[in-house]
Amino acid sequence: MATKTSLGERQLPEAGTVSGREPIEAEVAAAEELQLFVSNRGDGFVSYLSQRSPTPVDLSSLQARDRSSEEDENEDEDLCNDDDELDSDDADVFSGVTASSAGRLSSSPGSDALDVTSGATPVQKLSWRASSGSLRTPKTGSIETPKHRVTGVGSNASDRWESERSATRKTPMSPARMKLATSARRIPQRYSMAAQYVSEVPDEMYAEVPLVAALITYAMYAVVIVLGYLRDALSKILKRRRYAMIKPQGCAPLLSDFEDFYTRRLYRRIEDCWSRPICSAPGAYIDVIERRFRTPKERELLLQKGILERWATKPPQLKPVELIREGTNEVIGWIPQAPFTAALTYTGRVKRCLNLSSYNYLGYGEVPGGVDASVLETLDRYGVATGAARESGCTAVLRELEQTVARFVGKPDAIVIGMGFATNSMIIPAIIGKGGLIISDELNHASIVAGARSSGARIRVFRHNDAKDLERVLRSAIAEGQPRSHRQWRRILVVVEGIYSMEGAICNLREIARVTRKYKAFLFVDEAHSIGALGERGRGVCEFTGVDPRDVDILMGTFTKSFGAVGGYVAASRELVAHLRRTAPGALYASTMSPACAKHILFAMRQISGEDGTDIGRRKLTQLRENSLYFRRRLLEMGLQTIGSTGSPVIPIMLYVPSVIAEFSRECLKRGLAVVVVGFPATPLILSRSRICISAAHSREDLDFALNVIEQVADLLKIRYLRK
Amino acid sequence: MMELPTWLSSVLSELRGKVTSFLLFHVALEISLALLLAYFFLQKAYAPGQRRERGTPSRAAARFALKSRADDLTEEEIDALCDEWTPEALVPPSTESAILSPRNGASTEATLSLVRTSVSIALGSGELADTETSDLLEAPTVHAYEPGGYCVVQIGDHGLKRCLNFASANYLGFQREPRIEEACRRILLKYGCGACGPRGFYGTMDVHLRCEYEIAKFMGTHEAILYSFGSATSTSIVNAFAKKGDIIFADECLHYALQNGMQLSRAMIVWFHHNDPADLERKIVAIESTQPKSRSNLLHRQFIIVEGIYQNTGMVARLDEFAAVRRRHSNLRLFVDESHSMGVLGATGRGACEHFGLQLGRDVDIVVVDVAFSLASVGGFCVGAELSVVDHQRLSSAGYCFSASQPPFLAEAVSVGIQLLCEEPNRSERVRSNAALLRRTLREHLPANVLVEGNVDESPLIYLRLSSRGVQSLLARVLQLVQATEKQLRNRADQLRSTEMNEDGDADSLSDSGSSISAEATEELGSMVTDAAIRQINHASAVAAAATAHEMVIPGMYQAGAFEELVTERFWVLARERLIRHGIWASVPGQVLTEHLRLPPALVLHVSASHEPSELVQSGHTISRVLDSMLSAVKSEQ
Ligand SMILES: Cc1ncc(COP(=O)(O)O)c(C=O)c1O
Repeated sequence: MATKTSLGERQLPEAGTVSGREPIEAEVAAAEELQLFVSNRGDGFVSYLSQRSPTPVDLSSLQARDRSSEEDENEDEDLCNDDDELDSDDADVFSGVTASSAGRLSSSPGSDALDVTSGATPVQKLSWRASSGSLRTPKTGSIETPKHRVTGVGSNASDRWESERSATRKTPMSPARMKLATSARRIPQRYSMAAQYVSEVPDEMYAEVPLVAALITYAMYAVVIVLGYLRDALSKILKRRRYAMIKPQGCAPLLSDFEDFYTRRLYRRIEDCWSRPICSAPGAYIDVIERRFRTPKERELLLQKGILERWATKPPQLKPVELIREGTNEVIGWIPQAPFTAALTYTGRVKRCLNLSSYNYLGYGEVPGGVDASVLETLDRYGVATGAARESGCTAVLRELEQTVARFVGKPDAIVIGMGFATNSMIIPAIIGKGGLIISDELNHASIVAGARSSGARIRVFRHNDAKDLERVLRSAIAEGQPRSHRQWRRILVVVEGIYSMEGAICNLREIARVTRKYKAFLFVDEAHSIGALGERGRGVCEFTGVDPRDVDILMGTFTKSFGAVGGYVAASRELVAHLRRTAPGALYASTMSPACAKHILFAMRQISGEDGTDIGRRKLTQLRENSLYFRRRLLEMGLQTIGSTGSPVIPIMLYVPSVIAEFSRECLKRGLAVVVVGFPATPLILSRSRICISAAHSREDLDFALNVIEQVADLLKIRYLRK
Repeated sequence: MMELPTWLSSVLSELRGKVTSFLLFHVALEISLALLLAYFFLQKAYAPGQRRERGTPSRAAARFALKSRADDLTEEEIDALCDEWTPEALVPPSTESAILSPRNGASTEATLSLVRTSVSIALGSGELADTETSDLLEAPTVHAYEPGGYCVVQIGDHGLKRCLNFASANYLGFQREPRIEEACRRILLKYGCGACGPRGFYGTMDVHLRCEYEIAKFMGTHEAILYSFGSATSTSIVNAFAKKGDIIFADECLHYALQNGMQLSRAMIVWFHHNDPADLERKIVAIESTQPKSRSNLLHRQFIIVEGIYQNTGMVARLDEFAAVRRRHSNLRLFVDESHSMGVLGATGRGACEHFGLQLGRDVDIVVVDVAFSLASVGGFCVGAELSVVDHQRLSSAGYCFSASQPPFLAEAVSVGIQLLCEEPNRSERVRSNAALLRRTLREHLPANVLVEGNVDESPLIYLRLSSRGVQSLLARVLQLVQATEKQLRNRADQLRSTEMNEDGDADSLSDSGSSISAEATEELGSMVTDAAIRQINHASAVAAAATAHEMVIPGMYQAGAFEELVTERFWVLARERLIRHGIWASVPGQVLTEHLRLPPALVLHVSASHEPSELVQSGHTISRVLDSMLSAVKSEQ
């Protein structure tokens, strides 16, 4: 049967004749069976496209959606039949209580002095407390979980932490948590991954893996892996070729065995939980395009002799899929058929879902009217892109943006790169090189790892968010000097993130900055998720923790999150930025940001900082803060194990079991909720989780709807690990 | 037709029949399951920062510490070491100091400004001196891109100037294409600006899917993958496929992103001479001979990495010969970066592969394109012949997985750009003929000491470099000027020092009286250099330091070739400024310091399909005239 054909041997038609070839019979049959459409009209697809007029923009719906984020924020319609205390209207009543309880808890007399340095006026502090006051104040007796010792430095920041923490800790869930804590002690140490993070951060919560979940997870992996290998062996015996195997003759396989195996046998089973396409702006609600797995019959067809090889370089003309909004007959767009190699195809139905997944913290992913008028003006003036690196593609908008960013984060100067990932990976090599040492948090983002590895500097890691461990690493590094030669390090760069996107943890910046300064190292803070999302005025983790931006040598951040655009910046001293402009690969080689994007960021940044004269930005910041606190508290009350820091808009829910993450995602989607789930390899094997990103665009009703859905799904999947 | 299911069912029925074997199978399955379970339980699960005793080194730290000196030291000793340690400043004293390896930071600065000024003088600054002696290193600012390949540029604080744009790689003229802009506007209104999430997490929009489909259709494959940024594309892709133990045969002039990807992949890198298939073949044979000819050879992958048109030289790759080399040897994959050739080469603009009649799958394995150039957007894409090329990247390419997806309007710009290119293939013909026209004009009229680099006239990426004779005469003149200035300054400083010593007997006050030195020096040199030039060097400390330290630094620079680089780069930067005054905007790309290769500084022109032939001829003449006047100023003074 399956003769050994390969792309290398194949007789391929000459380039010019490709379009004219008659499709082979089997191919036609297969294509028809697959509900594809083989066109004999030459470029029938193009003509199909041209018939289709561009989808008109439904401005009214956009505005309606945005209204929920901007006007409804003070409405209180608590759909959950919960205590009235939760409502934001009552915030004032409780703000006093919280503030005073915060006052009680902050014991250090030095806090006032530090307040001055952090630059926050009493009024600002008050309003912060007022917002955190929307939390439930302690009613039941407070029970301290032994694991979360408070070792705050008695500062403005720790005040805040205190007030939020006291609110969170003293929820009625605490008895359950305590029980869990005691039971956690009984289970073997290697399953209790909680205590490993004895942290300086007062209120950070960590995963406490329940024994059952751990057992199920390992068993599940075992079964899936064994079955996978068996099926592989079987298909080898039966000589069933899989398309992934087709390769040029005499070549080593492109993928290593395990990578290939992992993808096919583990990932493919739950592939539908990721890369779900949407067809709307990433606002509070998104339109998710439904997909389904191809049936075995359809897959069978593709394995027929010769079809794959031919289609690989001469794909059939595919009939596009019309997108139809669920419950109506309204056609709202089209997409091409899924590639024939894909395991999933589109059904064409579009479901409107509440979006708890996009990094749209401040709601700039969807702006009333699409985009600000100034963005369109910029498009008119500059076109789409510059087609050049910074040396010859530095537009006036870009310069303006660089200055605005510098002002926003409180640094003398800044450089802007067209992509956040590339900002790290193409700038760090210009900051530090051979003979230098990078000390990196163990959970740092892939872009930081890429940058650190390109730099040629040595890399060491310290325990996640642990200033004590950082100190230990720094001391031993300085004492040891460079490996082998024991020469002194030329310089040491400590790299941390503002919010860890998979952990929801806020950086313990105050302590880390202190340690870094003590040992004369330089500090690099990646504010990708924290800029705009943290702090009274949205200035990021520095403002949140009360650290002067001048105490951080390099502030990096991206525009893909709070600003709803693309790109990244590095803000630092004037000299360093000048140096980067002259020598960083990101400045010399990478093409510059699209001017329209730059304008969008400027628009968002002006609004956030109030430079535009409105209070929209401030309202968004307040809304985000309240939403984050509210959502996290309600999840905890529900008995779901959330981790990370209170106040962070990133809220991971621990799910542990890989089949649960898939079901969680599917069940939520079914109920109109788009959530992100992550598992191995993005997280450790058994620490799979769902990650919620809260946005200022969500109204209280949106959140209550989401909580309702999550509650239902949690019951269904029995994941209320904090509850008996 | 339904061959396989029959097979399968027959085998299954056979299996079902053999009860004993079925039981055996069951037992085997259960045993292996139990074993695996045991294995997993005994394994230390990976968890960041596994519980450890405080003070014990983390696993990663332990890996790095070869011999932990810190363990033998007491806390006090470590404290002392920490106190002693002084890091270097975060910013090196001067950018160039990295290449100059200075013995004294301040003197480098001074020397640099001296050299820069001397270049200006050598080139006859004339009435332009005012801007030319200021720091020109900050990039000019673009205030608008206009249709027809024009743009409005500003240097420093000076007025705006409308220039013919040779600085953007706008080969097909899509930069101000109304149809693309209209499409982008529509998408911006519907989808907003950014995608707010990676492709895996609801960052995939229908726009991206349509764009990937358009690309795949255009490139003649079944699937394409879209990235949000060009330079992250090639880096991530190389890194996703090449692993430790693999071998990469790479052209020595590859652009930075590719080199970076190779470095990150930890694969073995074998460089071959620029665009030299014969050398590649030699290297392959050499590698083959060192390796046992066995099946285990197939365990590691081997890649040849080239570019369609080399970004660093503007050369068109001899792709047909590279493909032939690939055919002659086994286990080789050809990876082509078509960033600059896509849309330009080939009858229908499909790139260098089409130009040489090569086909994806038969001759070429992976093609990567940065869409910033021909398609006038921001982003990149990749297509491959093997069915797993794209699939694999979706899970394991760092720049794809760990970064927010491309803003939808930029993806739409790519789709519409490709549709336009299909509809108007004469655009790529036009850019080729334009390139040939400009190259011919330049070759005819440029002064003898300026070379037009490139092997094919149709390449729209034109590098102008100084010939070695040109560099030599420029260097000689600059050195002469530097030394003359230097000598006078030193004399003057000596004089001052001695008079000061006589007056108050304190040599240390020299630095205090720096301002008087510079005033004196200004007077002294007034006859020789212009006022503006002096403004550049009249920092008191700079003059004094230059006067004393020049002898140490200049010879060092000269040997390292850094002096040459400094002077030629300055030459081209000045040329760029003068050309802007004449309404022509070209670029002088900077270079990252890589140990591997440094190319001489150059002036780069990107020809576009939207340039009118008459404008090109005129520009060619202007460029020639300006460069000629600069070089003849050098010559006449010698
Ligand atoms: C910490 C951190 N740095 C950098 C990035 C990359 O940013 P971008 O998505 O803009 O490329 C991310 C994105 O996820 C991130 O979390």
